[in-house]
Amino acid sequence: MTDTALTPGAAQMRAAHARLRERLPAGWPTDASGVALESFLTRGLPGTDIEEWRYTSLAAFAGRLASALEASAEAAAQPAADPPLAAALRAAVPGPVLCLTDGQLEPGADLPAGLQIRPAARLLPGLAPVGISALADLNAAFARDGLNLAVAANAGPQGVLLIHERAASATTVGQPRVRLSLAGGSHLSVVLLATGGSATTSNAVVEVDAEAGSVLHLVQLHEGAAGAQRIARTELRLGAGASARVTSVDLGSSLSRQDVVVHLAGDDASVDVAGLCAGPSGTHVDHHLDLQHAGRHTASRTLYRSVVDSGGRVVFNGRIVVGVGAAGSDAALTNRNLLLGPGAEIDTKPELEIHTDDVRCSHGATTGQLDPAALFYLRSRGVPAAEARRLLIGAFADELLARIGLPTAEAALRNRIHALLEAAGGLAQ
Amino acid sequence: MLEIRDLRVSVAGKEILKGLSLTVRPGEVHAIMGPNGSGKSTLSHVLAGRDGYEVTGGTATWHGRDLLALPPEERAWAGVFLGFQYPVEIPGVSNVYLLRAALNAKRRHAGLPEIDAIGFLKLVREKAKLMQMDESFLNRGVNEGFSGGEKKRNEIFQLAVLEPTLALLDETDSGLDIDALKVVASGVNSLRSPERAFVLVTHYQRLLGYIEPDFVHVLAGGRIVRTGDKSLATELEASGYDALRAPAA
Ligand SMILES: Nc1ncnc2c1ncn2[C@@H]1O[C@H](COP(=O)(O)OP(=O)(O)OP(=O)(O)O)[C@@H](O)[C@H]1O
Ligand SMILES: [Mg+2]
Repeated sequence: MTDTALTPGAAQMRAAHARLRERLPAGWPTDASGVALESFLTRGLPGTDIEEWRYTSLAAFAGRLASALEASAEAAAQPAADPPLAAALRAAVPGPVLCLTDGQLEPGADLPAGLQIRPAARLLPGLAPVGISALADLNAAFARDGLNLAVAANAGPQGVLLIHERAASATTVGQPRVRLSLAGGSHLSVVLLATGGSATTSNAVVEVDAEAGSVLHLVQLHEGAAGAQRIARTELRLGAGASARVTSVDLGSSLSRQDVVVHLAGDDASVDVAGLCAGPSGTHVDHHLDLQHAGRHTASRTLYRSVVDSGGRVVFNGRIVVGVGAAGSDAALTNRNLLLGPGAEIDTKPELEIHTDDVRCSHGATTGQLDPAALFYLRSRGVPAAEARRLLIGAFADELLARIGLPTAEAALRNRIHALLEAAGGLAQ
Repeated sequence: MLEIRDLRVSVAGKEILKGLSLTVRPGEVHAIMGPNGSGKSTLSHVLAGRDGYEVTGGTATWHGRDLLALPPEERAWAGVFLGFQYPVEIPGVSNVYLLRAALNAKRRHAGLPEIDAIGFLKLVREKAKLMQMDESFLNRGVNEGFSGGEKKRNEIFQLAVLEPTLALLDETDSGLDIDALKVVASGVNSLRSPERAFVLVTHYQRLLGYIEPDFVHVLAGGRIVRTGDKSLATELEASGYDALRAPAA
């Protein structure tokens, strides 16, 4: 079941956890932290023999984790350089910025009325039970700070809040933890930007509790340095009539795994999920979506796209479960993939699991290459081949970016993606 | 001058053009007619540089330059324009974006600075007006959701903006209503000039009533089997191609 060879030894992990306890802030729920550790130790890191991890090996991740556990001292504070997207977004998103550096919340941001930061100690135990995900347990065991943000009931739209999850140095291992609690009828727009340095490792958990009638706009962006590893689990629970738009854009790194789990718990809850995965050469990007329709008349729209170059690999697994009580639900998933070269790899699997009759469901996935007829058309007008390819790739990405609905962030992102495509010589073949 | 000598082209191992020769001088309008499948689109595509055609013999030059050796974009920079029989839809790339990219690439190639935004806008607005095209079409994806006739009109709009010196129009008249045909014809007529040559592929004499050709050719069996003036089109309209099928002596 589990590849035990992957997981650092229990004794080593317990010792590291004991050292951590000495440095935990006052009031930190050490019980919950210990329970999470023991839960993690009973299962260890998932191996590729487990279906959800079939295409993504955690061997390199485990190696970095083990050496980080050995490092007794705090890592030298030599901040990892921010990738270009960070500067562009910080300039483009006018609202306040909250920085999580190796999971530690930096003080200083002025929040608009209606938003409040609650004690990080209350991040544990997590909203999801222990034992659901080994990586979420690992995070809970080793987290010692985080962002616990609450939106007051009926708080109106506040502008856009930028959360920047980053590394303190080019080699640190972080366990960032974020909770967004939206009280009934409130609104929140967040851009969560995750960046990593050349050898950073991060295992993030984002929890969203959206109460009845609240409206969430969440954009998750990841751009790591080539050698960065990031694993993230974003789990949302939507109450009655709550709605969310979740867009994940992943520009890739040597290992990027993003799980998005959505519980449409209350009646009439709805979610619009979109993802764009770019897999330049040398990257491994794996996105898993798990969409649970539980309430009646719940609706989901899912659109994932990926662009993969030779030497890059993208995995997309989109699972929709319509539960017995979810009568009148409506779910649609589409996945389109663009392969730019002979060595590009995509593994995609939409899954539908339906336990009720009264439901409308559709899903479809297509994988193809740039349309040669469109390429010739552009070139026949005088557009050089490389630029024509870029135009078509950009158009493919733009259709998804247009769904973000935050014009400023959208423009910054579009520029960054286009620049990335331009810089990746391989994309021009 | 466009000079095609003894051009032989195969598609998927089958010879389509079997020694085609044709000379078109600047300022002239030539019409090419011929049965379905005779190779008219093949000729246009080969001249514009589309993949998938094997040139097994002959030459094609434009003002002395070997067209067949150039990639498609360089042919465009040399003045060649293909009006597609079936224009491609390109969602997400707007008409104006395409045109600006095309104009600027050509200008860069010629060592000129990029076109300024205001000048460009003025140019496309003026040409849209010429083609009686609503400005909303400018910002739509290239041909995206355009009707058959709108696509053809858009081809001539692009022609008007890009101002090529050799325009190959492959059945631009097919699918146009009577009013649109007049608009397209007057667009083409307004672009006629001593430096610019047109090759019109058409099935219908009607177009040639609006755009008066200097020569009419019949392409059949992979070669030009007959050449005449505009009266040839009228004659074909009445008699069909059957009488011409036998290779010319
Ligand atoms: N990719 C291909 N594979 C096989 N045969 C092809 C291919 N492309 C073209 N042909 C054949 O080449 C011949 C010439 O086609 P072409 O499109 O040039 O004809 P055309 O004269 O333009 O006809 P129409 O008047 O119908 O437009 C046809 O018999 C066609 O079936
Ligand atoms: Mg044809």
